[in-house]
Amino acid sequence: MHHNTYILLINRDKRVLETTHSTLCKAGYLVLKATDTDDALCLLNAIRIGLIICDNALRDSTGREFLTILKKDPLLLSIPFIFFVPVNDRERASEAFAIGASDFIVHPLDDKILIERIREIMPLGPGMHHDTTIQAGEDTALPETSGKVILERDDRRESERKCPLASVHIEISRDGVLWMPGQLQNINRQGIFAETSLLGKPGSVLHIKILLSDEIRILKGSIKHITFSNPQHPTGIGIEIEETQDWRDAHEMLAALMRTEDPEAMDIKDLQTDLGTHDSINTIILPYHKQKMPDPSPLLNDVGMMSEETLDVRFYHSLVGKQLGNYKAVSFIGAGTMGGVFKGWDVALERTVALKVISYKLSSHETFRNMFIKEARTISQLNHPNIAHIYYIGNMNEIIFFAMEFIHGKTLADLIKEYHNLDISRGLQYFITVCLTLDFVSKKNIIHRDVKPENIMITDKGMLKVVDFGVAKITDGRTREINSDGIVGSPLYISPDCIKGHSVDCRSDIYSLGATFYHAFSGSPPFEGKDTEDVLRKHLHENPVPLQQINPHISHGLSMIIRKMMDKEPENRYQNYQSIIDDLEPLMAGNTKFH
Amino acid sequence: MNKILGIDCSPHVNKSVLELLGGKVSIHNDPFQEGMSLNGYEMVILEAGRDQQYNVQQIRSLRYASNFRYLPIILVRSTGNHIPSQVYIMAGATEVLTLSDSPHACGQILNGYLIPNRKPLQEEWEYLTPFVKNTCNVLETMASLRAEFEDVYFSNGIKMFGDVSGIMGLSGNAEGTLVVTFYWNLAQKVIAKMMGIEEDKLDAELIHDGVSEIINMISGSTKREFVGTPYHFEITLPSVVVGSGHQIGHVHDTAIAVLIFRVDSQYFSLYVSIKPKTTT
Repeated sequence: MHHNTYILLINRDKRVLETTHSTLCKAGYLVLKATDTDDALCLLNAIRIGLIICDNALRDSTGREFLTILKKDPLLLSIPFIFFVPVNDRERASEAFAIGASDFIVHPLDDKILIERIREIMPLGPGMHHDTTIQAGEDTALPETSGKVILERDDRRESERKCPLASVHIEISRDGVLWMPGQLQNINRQGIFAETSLLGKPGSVLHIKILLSDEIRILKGSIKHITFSNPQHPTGIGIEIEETQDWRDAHEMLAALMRTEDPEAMDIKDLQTDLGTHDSINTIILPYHKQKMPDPSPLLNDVGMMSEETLDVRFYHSLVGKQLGNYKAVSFIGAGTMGGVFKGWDVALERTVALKVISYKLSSHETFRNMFIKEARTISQLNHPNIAHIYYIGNMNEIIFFAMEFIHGKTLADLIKEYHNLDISRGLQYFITVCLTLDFVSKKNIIHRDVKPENIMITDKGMLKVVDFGVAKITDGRTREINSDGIVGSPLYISPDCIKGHSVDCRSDIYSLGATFYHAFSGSPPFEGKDTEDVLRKHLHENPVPLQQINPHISHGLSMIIRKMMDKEPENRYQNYQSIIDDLEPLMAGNTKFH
Repeated sequence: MNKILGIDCSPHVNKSVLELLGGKVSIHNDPFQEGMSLNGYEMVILEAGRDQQYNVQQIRSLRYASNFRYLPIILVRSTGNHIPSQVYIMAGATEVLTLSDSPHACGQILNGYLIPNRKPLQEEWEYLTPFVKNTCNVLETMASLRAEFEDVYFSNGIKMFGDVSGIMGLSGNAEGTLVVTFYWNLAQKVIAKMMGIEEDKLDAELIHDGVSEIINMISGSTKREFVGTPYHFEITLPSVVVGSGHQIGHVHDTAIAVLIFRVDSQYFSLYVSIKPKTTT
């Protein structure tokens, strides 16, 4: 628990509030006060609260109602909640347990006993001073209800108190594939007690992952007992863990965590703190099919999915399962800088297509929208075996999309990922084929403007296809086209002329093609940076590390061809594709002999 | 013209939504009420108030009232704040929009959700039909309950908003995920009938066993029908999960069909996401 975590005291009776506040402050705690639920919720939203002590009588509501609200809130439900119960009203305590209270304290209560009880639940952190010597207990026993399913929670004061272990992240699984998050409540040498949404029954075998700072322990155990009240609350399960060295080590660390006055000093990763939120049982996205049991990948590696997705991705997600004109969006394949791609189905012609939906950023410019539609129609007439055909361009509810040939295969980007860099002979073949294809394109006065490894595909039958002419531009073939659309292209491969907003022609594509094959032969793009601006700056002002230095198998000739293609000045680059092909072909012949 | 239900929406939010959608929708405004009817609407717009807990409660209630059918629930915030939208998404909101975000993006997202849903392809019906038939059969034979297949739509994720769900991982020739999810009342009714006991005698163990058995039976009987087809899968151990608002990952690049069934006046749903090993 964080050392500057507060206790929140809520009581309608200001006299009791002041007395308790003073007692806890003297004991070294940081304490906040509230007399009603409104004030309490404001404090909960603004300040890290580690423990709530609440009376049933509040100014605007009851403590029970307040607890019910908290338990429905994924951000707040994990905060331990102690009920203040008058000595003549103990009945209310068991009711409170049923809705998720961690403990109750009967008042009036001797100060010393109060502090002892609080210390058990919330030991003092290093930033708090100590004026008592009471230490947190260790190895509180698991409830002895072996083999029983408890539907109503009884008084759990001695057995199931919340403790610093709540900050240790665990996951629980039945099958070793689907992992449910859990909150560790207690430990002893035989096993653990945790809250989770995973339901089971006594005897069921479970896998338990415990996330430590630098490793994951995967343990095996079986359910000893279950507490379950209703589906709105997590299930409490006592798990007996198999006696192994792994468990002994994990237990030692967890027990130390309970003993220590500075839980953070123990090497336990507090994921909740890292995430800046109290992730609760219901809010975790579960990585199914992505996380195999033997793979010690970081727990919750999909937490990224929980962060705010970009508006673009959210827009593409809104189209999953929709029908745009004659085209059904069957499944989402991925998002690029220019748009999102779906596997689609052409209802009229009954064939699979790739559906590309244009990013809202591009389609929000009217000039771009008009130009895009006009030019896509022209490009759809390109007839070349190495070009994925555009079948249709449409606009539905202001959403611009086009349907193109669906290619079963891999992108050049996939191959780079798979092999790190390309076999030189095979790479040269691809290189020449793309040059021939873009030569055909440029002779039709078209600039692709988004040449990159993701837009070069190799089909299952080994055929190369240049795809995605979604941002292509038609020139008049005489004057160089002014780049009036702003920066169009992918930052890792974009030409300096395009970044500067200068006129562009096929030499801009030649630069991007050079950058693409630099990546293919070296395994990394020519420029990387901390952000897009940094990468663009390098395209403008820095020279890439010579290819031969990164991959010594590359010939000097090939390294020089790519260097020339990537010259900052269009005038110093190859002026057309044929001259690149002329230089590449002798290398190809040499490589064929070599291999 | 698309019919939208605006709940607790201020004139400012109403006007903004109309502008974002180019005025091509009709918005009917109502104050929030528990159990309000959502029939006939293609989208719900709820304006976020200052009370986050109340908004979460409202969203949960609306999601329940949707009875598993496709109904985008959009929470609209006038300005951005520090509360992550994930809280609302896990309560059942489809999207959380902030009016200070790019209007074009907000408009496109709203438009996207209003585009008509697609129907399954022929090849999808090939694997969905056995699931539909076997789900109805399992309820009939195990619980003597008549389940009617009501509808199907395709979702962008496996988000379970029922109170209790059974999850089955599919592996082998085809891989994927199968999830059956019930509201509490129907789950109790089905399991009590399956077990031949009174609903108030159900405990956690019986619920676990009942839901496990249902998902086991649906997947097991369907598996047999797929022998020799690209959809042939092996089943794993079922997991039973309680509570609403869970999301599980799914096989990339694979459609997620949500099949909705009705038992008398109550509903449950079955998520089917299955990817054959070899695609054609």
